[in-house]
Amino acid sequence: MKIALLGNPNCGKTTLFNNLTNTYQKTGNWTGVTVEAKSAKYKHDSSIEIIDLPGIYSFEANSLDEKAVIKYLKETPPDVIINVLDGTNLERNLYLTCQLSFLNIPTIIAVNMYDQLEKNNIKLNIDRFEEYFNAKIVPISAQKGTNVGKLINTVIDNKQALKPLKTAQISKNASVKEKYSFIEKVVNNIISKTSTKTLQLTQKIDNVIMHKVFSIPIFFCVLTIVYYLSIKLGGLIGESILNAFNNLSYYTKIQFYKINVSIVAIDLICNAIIGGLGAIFSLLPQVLILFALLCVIEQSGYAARVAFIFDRLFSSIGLNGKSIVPMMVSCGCTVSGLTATRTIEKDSERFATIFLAPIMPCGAKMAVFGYFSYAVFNGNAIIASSMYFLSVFCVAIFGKILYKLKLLGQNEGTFILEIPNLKVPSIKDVFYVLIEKTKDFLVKVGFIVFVLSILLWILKSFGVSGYVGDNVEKSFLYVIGNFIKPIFYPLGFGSWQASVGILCGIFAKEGIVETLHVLTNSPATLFNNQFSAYAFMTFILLSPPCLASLITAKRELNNNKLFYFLILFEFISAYLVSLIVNIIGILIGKSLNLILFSIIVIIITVIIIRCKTHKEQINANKQ
Amino acid sequence: MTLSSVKSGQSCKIIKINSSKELLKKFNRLGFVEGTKVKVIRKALFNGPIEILIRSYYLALRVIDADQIIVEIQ
Repeated sequence: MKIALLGNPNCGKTTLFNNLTNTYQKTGNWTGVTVEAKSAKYKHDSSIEIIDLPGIYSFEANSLDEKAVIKYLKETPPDVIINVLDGTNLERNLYLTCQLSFLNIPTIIAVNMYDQLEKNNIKLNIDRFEEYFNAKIVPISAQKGTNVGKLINTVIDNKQALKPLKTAQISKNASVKEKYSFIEKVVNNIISKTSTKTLQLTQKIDNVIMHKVFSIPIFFCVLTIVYYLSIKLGGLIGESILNAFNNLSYYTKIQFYKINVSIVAIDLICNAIIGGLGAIFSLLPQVLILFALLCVIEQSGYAARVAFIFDRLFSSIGLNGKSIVPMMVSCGCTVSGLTATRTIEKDSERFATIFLAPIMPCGAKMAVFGYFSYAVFNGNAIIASSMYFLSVFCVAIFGKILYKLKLLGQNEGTFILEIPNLKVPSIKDVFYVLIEKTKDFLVKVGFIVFVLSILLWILKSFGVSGYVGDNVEKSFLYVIGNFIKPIFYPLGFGSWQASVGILCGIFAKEGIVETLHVLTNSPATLFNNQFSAYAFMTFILLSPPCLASLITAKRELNNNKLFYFLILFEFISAYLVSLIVNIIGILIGKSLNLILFSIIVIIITVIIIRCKTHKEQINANKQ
Repeated sequence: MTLSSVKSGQSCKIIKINSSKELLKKFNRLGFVEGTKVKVIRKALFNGPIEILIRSYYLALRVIDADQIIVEIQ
């Protein structure tokens, strides 16, 4: 038997689905997380298949999701539909129910979040409710699991008796207004009281977290906590994992030497394979902690509020309030950030976010800047931190250019976003997300990093004469580096080592530090002057973080032409901006100290943001 | 007057929706019809989105969209 779950976005369908089945399915307190129908077996009876359809508001085929659902129900009609309603928001949820009566599929209604209604002493007259729609109605709480078994049992027990919905009082051609007046009548007749305490609590919290002034510092506090936990705590765990792999590599090496394994094999297994695996697993804790926290932020409903706060700022560069989440995730890992763009409904705004997110300094880029600040700039922290400001500066400028030239077809579009009630996320949902993400990370990202680390090892350890070991100047890598280095002459770092560094950086920015470390004793000698070192960092900052992120961008854009444009855009913009940095260095480098230059970058960025917000303020006052 | 010019905390009633056909449909689905009561909860910084209470749920929309909804203060 096939049972389909149908309802508005945010009504708790996916939480119900997670409760009925044992599979991993992400729920978000956003509208439209379920992009396509997901199906799984009922956990107590494998002959029953449960299908989770995308959340929709109506059957009028307006949005992609609505079209998908209509198509699905026409082509493969399920045996029974469970119409899930958010009990705290019956008026809007019943609009879809009204339209369901014209589908010829047996339907049962589940009133979700019933626990919240009870908590607020709201009573539903279920009998009268059933009469209005001529259907069985079961009150449930998907999050707590109350009555969820009863719901399925009701379906099984009444299999023959279940009928399509029928509302005598409303005809198929009724106007929207007529439908809503019918719904108003129904709701008034079945609900005992309408004021609710939990809603008031949500409003009280919202008064603080969405406050005109406090909302922004509160958001940055939350952001800091997320990063601190993910990068510091995750980094600490990751470091011990890396150490474990290093020890493993060391002991394997000793054991292999004892039994006379060839040097090439030892090098391959100990350095390339074990080292590659170590790199993947040491990143895992950071990614997982970041995802768990972001999942909590999304499911609690805070992400929708953050989108509300930042929409104005982002819409002025052709993005959307919802872009804030992908952008901040990209500061940790761009691959995850790009995946997080799916919640943005409008394609042009989603594409713009995908174009700009790779500019944010991800964890691996920050590692390069950290290395540079002590290896090239004598431990000066201002230069590395100015990179953060440079990235914000470039996001604003590039965003504006893409927007003004309408390269991605952006126009000032609608932003209609439901602000769901705040709730404590269910542990089960967070846990499922983590399992899914671990699998995703190891299979998709891990595999690529692993293959690349072996590929890089081959290029580094072999040359025309065969295995060259540590003698890098005879390797293929040296040949390649020399071949491409003229490209980087104008940027001020035309040495083969720096070119190889950039090349490795295309695969993964993590590789740059290691590569430069292996290829040269003093990285400072690779650059003409400090400005060209800064140009090198700029190039690293603005080019895509890794091959995995490019592959993710391709998947998310789902459009080859746009993807090639993205590659061109990212590399050309990176090249041009670092060229500008190098030219500034050549022109006034002798009289201008680089530290002073970094400070100027920071000040200009701050001024631009100030002017921007000031202008908005004036516009706001005018109206 | 338009929904965007209603002050935070004020309630109003929808008189007319002047938006494009596509957007009108979207508004309809979300419960915006003539006569629906709407309360403006808050407005975001710098002329940003407006949060409203409609049919017992909360919704945010941009000023440009709210401009197209004609209301009457209650």
